[in-house]
Amino acid sequence: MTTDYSWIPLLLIIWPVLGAIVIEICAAVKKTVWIERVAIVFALAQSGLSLFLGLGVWGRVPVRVDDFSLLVDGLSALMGFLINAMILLILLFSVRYMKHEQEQGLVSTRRHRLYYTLILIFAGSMNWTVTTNHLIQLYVAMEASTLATALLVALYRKKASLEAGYKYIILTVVGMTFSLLGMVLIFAAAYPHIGAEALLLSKIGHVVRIIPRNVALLGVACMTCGFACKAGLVPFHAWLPDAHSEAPSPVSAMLSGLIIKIGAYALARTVTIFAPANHGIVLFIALLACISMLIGIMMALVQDDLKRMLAYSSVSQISYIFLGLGLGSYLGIYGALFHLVNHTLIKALLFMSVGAIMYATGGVRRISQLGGLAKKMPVTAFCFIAGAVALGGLPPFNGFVSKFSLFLAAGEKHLYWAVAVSIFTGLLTLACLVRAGYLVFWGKPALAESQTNADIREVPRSMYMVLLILAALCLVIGLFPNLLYPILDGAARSILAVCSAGS
Amino acid sequence: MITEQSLITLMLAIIIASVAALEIRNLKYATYAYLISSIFLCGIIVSYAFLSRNESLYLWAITCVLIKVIIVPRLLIRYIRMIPQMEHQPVIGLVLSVAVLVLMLTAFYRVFHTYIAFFAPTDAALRAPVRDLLAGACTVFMLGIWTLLSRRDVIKTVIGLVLMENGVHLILLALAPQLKETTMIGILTNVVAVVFILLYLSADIYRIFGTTDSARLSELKR
Repeated sequence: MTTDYSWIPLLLIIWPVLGAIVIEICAAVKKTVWIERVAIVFALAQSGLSLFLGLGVWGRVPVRVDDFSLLVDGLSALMGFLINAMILLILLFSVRYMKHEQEQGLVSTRRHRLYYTLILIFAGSMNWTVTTNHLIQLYVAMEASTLATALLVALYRKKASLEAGYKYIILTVVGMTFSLLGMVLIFAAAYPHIGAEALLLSKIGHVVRIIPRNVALLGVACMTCGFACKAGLVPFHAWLPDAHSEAPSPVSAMLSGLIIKIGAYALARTVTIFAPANHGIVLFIALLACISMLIGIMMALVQDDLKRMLAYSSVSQISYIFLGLGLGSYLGIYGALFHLVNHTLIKALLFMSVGAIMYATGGVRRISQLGGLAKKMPVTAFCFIAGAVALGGLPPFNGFVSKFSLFLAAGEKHLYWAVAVSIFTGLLTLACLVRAGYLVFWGKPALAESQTNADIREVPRSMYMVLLILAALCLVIGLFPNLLYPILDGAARSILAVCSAGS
Repeated sequence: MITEQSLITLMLAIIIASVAALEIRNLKYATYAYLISSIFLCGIIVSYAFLSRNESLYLWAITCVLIKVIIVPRLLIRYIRMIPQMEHQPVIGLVLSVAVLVLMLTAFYRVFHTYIAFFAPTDAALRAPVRDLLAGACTVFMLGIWTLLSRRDVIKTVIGLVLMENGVHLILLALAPQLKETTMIGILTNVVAVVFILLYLSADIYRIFGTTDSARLSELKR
């Protein structure tokens, strides 16, 4: 007898929203101590559900819920599990971090509650984004995830955070409107031939073959601009460093780990399908990605603010993912998805390490003002350096394996200039992050010793355990990349299956 | 009686009202101009539904009235009460701005009208009135982008955003009237949420910065 999984996708969308409602009820009946526990219990259940769903999907047939146009294939299951597991880790890290922020008077009790409510609503919107099989629903769900995070970015209600939230919402909404335009153009061109099926993501492979080339290119250009806006590629990146640096650190981890990845996910679902038929698209995305990765890392090198530096390096790393997805080949998609998973782990690790530094030093995040923290915060120091080396792409960490797959994929398509730019960017990334790590943990502090360093100590266990889990994952995946192979292979093949559908 | 000619007239009315929403310096009246353009937009949806005998579009028209004519302008007006009534001086003056707009919009309309086949190669889109509707919709979309680029006031930015969305919704109407009602309603509901959250942030921006001039949000230009 086969297990019926079709109830899970819809539940995964509703469940977190239910959690948000429970939190609001807890607050209404003055049980504020329960809020964190409720959020964590709901996130734990969500991760369990998505893992269960994944086990049912990986290597087998996709799960369909036709009434709501939901479809869970290998890629959706991978993204779903990644999202829910990351949200669980981020919430675990947040408990002490946000309590600390509340005690410092940076967030009010009401906003402290709002924080957990919005994270759960965000989880719901993300689950919807990755499970939908409907082009326009994809747009609506992505917009919903933007809106849920806009208030999280502006949570501190300071001048800088309000400005960051405002920029974030304006730029992403304008970008997404462009992608809606692209979707409509493609739908309109395909509708006379295949009817309402033109809206299904699983039928895009068919759409590619029937619509005229110029419409396909125009639609893809609009969608790429929109998704690149969401993902923060140069020249659409203006919101990214501001939003990442002004949001609370766990939210920065979420933005860098999940939100910008959703742009890449949408690209994989739509633009990648068009790539094999049009070499122009491959070149366009490769060029965009190369410019973006180089400018991103150069901007990162000149930053003094740790979080801004990490944010710019995200601009650069998401470009690797775009490069791979734009190639449209198996190896490209495989490498890109591998790097997507790795970058989510690494960036969450790095942003939360910076969060730990800010927790311990009372909010200092300038490299020039920090120094000599290694003795006082050994666990954080180890985790940050592990993340820095992994992001730079050195073996035995996970970043090496996925970047190497991407280099091979670009080489396979004879884009040697892209390989060269990627390798050069990788070296700069390594230099940038290791330098920052060295200065922060072993360098001489710029401020007087007594003034800042006196009562700095390692962060609470609930925080550093999260960092250790992430660092261990980076190492384990780097040492045994084959562990993830079946899942990533299934995900990459599910995209290729859409490509070849209807031929 | 509703004819194809009335669709084109309504389209022209939308463009004029949208230009007014952009050019009127008093924010309250600019919002009313937006409201009027939204009423015309609903008129277009109803006439189009009538002409193409597509009943599902009536439901869309009702949602449109609810959202674009009632909720969004109400949100805007409620926020405008808290701030100075006049917008921050834009970069270029009124006369020059109107002159540039007229030239630009005419050019855009002509270009879109001529090259419709390039981006919408369907039989329906190539014939009047859909062809005119589509060219007009693209013009409204460009007007929205122009507003976003040329205005500094937070409210004007929001108006630019909703004008741009109006353009996309008109394109949607012209190219994809076969979409399910639920999808259309989903797209429209997004607009309310965006405007609500933007204004919610703007209220705090005004409280803390003491201005609605987005050019003076320069904390992060480092």
